[in-house]
Amino acid sequence: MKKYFVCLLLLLIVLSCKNSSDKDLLSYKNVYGLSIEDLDKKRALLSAEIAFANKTESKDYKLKEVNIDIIVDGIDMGTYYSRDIMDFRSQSQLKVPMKHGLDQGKLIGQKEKLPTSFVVQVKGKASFVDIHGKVVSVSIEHKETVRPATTRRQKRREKRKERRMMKQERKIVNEKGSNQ
Amino acid sequence: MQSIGLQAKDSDLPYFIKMKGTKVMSLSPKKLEVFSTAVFFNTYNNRAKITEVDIDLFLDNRYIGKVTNHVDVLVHKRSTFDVPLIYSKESPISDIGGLLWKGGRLIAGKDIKVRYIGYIKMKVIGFIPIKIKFEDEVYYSLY
Repeated sequence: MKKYFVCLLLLLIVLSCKNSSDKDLLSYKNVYGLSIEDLDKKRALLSAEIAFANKTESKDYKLKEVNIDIIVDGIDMGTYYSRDIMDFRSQSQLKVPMKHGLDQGKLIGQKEKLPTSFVVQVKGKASFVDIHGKVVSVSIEHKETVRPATTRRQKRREKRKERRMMKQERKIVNEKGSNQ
Repeated sequence: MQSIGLQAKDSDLPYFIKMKGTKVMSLSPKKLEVFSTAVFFNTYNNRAKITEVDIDLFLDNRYIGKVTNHVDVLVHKRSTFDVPLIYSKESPISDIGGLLWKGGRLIAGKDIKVRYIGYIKMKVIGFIPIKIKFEDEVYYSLY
């Protein structure tokens, strides 16, 4: 009886070690190319690439789902969710493209000037599944300051605004001069 | 459904993803406030509008009430959307002892189970009704 118990215990230890090593060998690496575009539109576009590494010797996985909360300047900008299945071979890297629409009203709020940078925080997890159906979750966490890409339209708008301001200033000066 | 421009299959209807940001703001015999956000995914290639929210709220397996109020949420095509769920009521339930017990547990650092069961209804392209049923529970603690 004691012998069986010891065997069972050893088996459990071996199995748990194997599981934990799988988790360690499948890991999140980084978020690359985080950028915010189309800031002049109603729905700005946040795009990035999330990189994962599969260091297992001969175990292929498939990406099951990606579930990420996006926080910009401390404001919750919604959740990015994808169920697109992607192959993730052993001894390789996987880059998952991410595109998420950001509500401009929420992003800029009532600020008069467009912000020059945003603090983007990405937090969530990705789930992978092996051929036996075993699911491994990998948590993702990244924080980065992003400078939004300025578009031509944006530049033109800013120029127009500047010209308008100059005109108004000139008008005020002229009015003052005529009053005196 | 395909003929009117909807590109999602019947098996690929909009679905519930998760609950987030659950907070019990006030838990006293005078007032009970529970805030949470339900995240869904619109599988259609068309915009939609939420028309009805009907969700039962349970605290530690005890029925508290219904969440029916909903804020106008823009549901964009093929993307996630958040539905804020706000339950707020003055003098919520007659079981003051039970409520105080839950409040005491929260202050003591224990967590309480917040459970939501119900559905939301939305209209795609203005007239096609879609019902999304969901059920989820979250453990909330103060610390």
